[in-house]
Amino acid sequence: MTGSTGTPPLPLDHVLRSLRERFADAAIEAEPGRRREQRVAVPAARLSEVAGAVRGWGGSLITAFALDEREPHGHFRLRYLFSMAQEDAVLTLESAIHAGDPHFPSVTPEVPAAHWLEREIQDMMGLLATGHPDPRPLVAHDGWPRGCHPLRRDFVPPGDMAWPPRFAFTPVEGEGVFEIPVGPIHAGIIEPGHFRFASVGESVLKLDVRLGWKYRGLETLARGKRIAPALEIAERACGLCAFSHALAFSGAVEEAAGVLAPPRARALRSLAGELERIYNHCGDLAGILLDVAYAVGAAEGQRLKEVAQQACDALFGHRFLRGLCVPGGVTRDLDDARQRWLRALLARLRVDVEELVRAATANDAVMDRLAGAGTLGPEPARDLGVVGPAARACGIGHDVRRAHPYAFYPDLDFQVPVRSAGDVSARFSVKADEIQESINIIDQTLLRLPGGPLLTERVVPPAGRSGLGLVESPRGLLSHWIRAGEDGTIDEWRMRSASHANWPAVAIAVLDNIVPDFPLINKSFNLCYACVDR
Amino acid sequence: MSAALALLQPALLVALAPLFSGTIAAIKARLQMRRGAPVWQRYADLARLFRKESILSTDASWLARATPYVVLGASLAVATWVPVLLTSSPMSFAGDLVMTVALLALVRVLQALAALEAGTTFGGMAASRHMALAALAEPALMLSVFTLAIGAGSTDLARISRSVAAAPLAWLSPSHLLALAAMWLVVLSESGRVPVDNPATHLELTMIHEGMVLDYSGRHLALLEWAATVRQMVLFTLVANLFMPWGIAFEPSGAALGIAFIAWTGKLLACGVVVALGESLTAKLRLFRVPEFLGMAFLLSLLALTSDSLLRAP
Repeated sequence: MTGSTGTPPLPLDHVLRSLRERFADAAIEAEPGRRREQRVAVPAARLSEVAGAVRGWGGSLITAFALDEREPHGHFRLRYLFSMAQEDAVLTLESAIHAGDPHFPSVTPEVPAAHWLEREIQDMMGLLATGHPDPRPLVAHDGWPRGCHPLRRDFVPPGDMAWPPRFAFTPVEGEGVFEIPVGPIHAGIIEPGHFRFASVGESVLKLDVRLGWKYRGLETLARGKRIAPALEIAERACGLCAFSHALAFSGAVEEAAGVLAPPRARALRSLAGELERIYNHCGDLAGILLDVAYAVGAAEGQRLKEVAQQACDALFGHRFLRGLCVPGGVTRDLDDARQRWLRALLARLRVDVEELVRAATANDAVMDRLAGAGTLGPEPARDLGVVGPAARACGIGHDVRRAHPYAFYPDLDFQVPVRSAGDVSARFSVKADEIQESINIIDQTLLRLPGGPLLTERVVPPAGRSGLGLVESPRGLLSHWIRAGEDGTIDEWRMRSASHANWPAVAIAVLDNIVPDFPLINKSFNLCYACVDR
Repeated sequence: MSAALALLQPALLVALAPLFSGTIAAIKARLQMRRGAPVWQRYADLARLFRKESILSTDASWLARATPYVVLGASLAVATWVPVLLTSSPMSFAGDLVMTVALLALVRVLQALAALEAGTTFGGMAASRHMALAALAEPALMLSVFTLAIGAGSTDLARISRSVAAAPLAWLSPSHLLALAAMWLVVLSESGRVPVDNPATHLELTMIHEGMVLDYSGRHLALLEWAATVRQMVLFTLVANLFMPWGIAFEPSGAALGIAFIAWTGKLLACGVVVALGESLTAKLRLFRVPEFLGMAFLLSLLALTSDSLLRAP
């Protein structure tokens, strides 16, 4: 039940002791934070080595980002956050990078999960990751002026965007090798993503995924905003996981403020989070069936998604559950009549989903397409730090609801479905099982719904305090980190979604499959573009 | 009279082809518990496309411009000698079974070439897939109809239809049923339907027929789409009137033609229901399984031909 490599994961204290022993010359303990977040300062030169050791001791990378602290400290600060599985603890490695020499040794060779994160740090903060195996720009597309780094605090939007291209796709050469460029504009209504296949005949040799076509600069936009408008920005990072974003952001603000939402609000947060998972997973099942042209199953899946979304609307006033979760609690209550209605609706939904899954898995033509397509092995999945249902489909039973319980989950009894095949069919089954488990969770929550208020009093984090919100979104681990500014504002905000962690895995899963199977494999992950193009 | 009939039969095929296509889509929608578009939606689509501007790639040559017209022309030509209501076609001199297969092949080659014209990836990818599948589908189509042609002693489509219709129980022979099964598989593949192709997909990487017309727009696209519905109609009419020619008129009398019309539309509707049911209950094959599917069609047609010669009394 961990997301780490073979050695048994060690609790945070043990890791800290080992760090002090092995890196006595390097690791300097920073001032102790709250129990959940232990910070360790490391000189930049040793960062890669220490990060590799932490990974070996059972840490799995949550996120990595850079902060601009040139005013007043004269340096940038890098942060690598590791989840210390089995214990609800987070270990943060910190490094100061001198402003006059904006280079840092890349930890990607030791911790491959940092791959995209470090490329993003290069684009966003202008710090160069030396020794990074693939230092091409990730978000900075053609036309981005050099020296334009949106997360630096002295960033001013440039007027002139006509600069030469800096990105090149990796050329693949050989007899009979073709390059197939797909997107960013597609024949259907899909978000923009460019996929560059190198193929021999129909067989895929290599896939280069390029996102960032509609990078919006949300993290820059939220800087200095008061909490309520910043929450609106965070919630709009993505449509399909709007509630998870609001929840993670609220969790981060609450941690920084040192408050806890009241019990009834926590229970309703779990309930809404599971509703979001249900409608997402129903849509995913429909999408997988649609891509293999199993029309009846796809239509039924889409109907179930609609039923779930209409329930969200009827209960909480928004199909995507926007505006429900705020720092300090939730804005809407669920009265007895609505609870009974929801329970009856979910009982029907449970039967319908069972029937849909039974019909699809009994259909040989469908299963022939799903089984063996897009296999992702547990080794690359662990290396890349794959999260959520995609990880649980290849035997990695990591779940934030278990590892870092939030909302009502500490009080709930639930299963985490795991499959081991790692193919499209395994991802289909994991999602189907998770729908059933989500319905169980909602049933339990309704039975044990605590009374009391929905909101705490004012939630104003003291200036300079930071907080981390971790949520198991429908696609997996979602993290929001904030640092509070003066007068209840957000000074810095960093977000990393499950899609950001999982996109590199799609490029691995599609290898040695045939080109026309790519849409199916892609759909079985169903990753979000907007969550990445933040 | 014969001139009128020579016009009536192809006119019916051409005019009702979009309706047939729309009907299959409507039945599919019903099976998925959707209301779906009305059965005449295809006419509205064609009218809309005809009104729109046609844009061609600057890299495209005259071939891209000519292809839609030639493709529609070839499809119309085939429609003239296919027996629709009557077992004696006044246009039999113009073409027979071999000519039909040849014109369908011409359409395929032209479409594949035109798909390469714009120089985009999807056109080329779809064209290569299309040609690979055509190489397997074509022999199966020829062999299965040859089985009937041998019985009739002619490659004239109308005469084949008459000879099958004249022997009421001939369709019960194993060779006939095997040939029908082979023909059905080929028709599904040729008209771009599940499990070979998905006419409803928006995923460029999986496309075959849709991929070849992806770079066409406006009037040109309308012509190609219309031609595709006509070809689909012709192929299903061949299934209905060569393999199950029940109710077809032997003489051009009013009553017989009326019965033939009802029988023909009834059979097509039945075909439409079977296609829609099949598309709803099964999934698309992985591309590399399609050759097995068409290989099965070829094998069935070969078995049909062999059993026909074995069982035929000397």
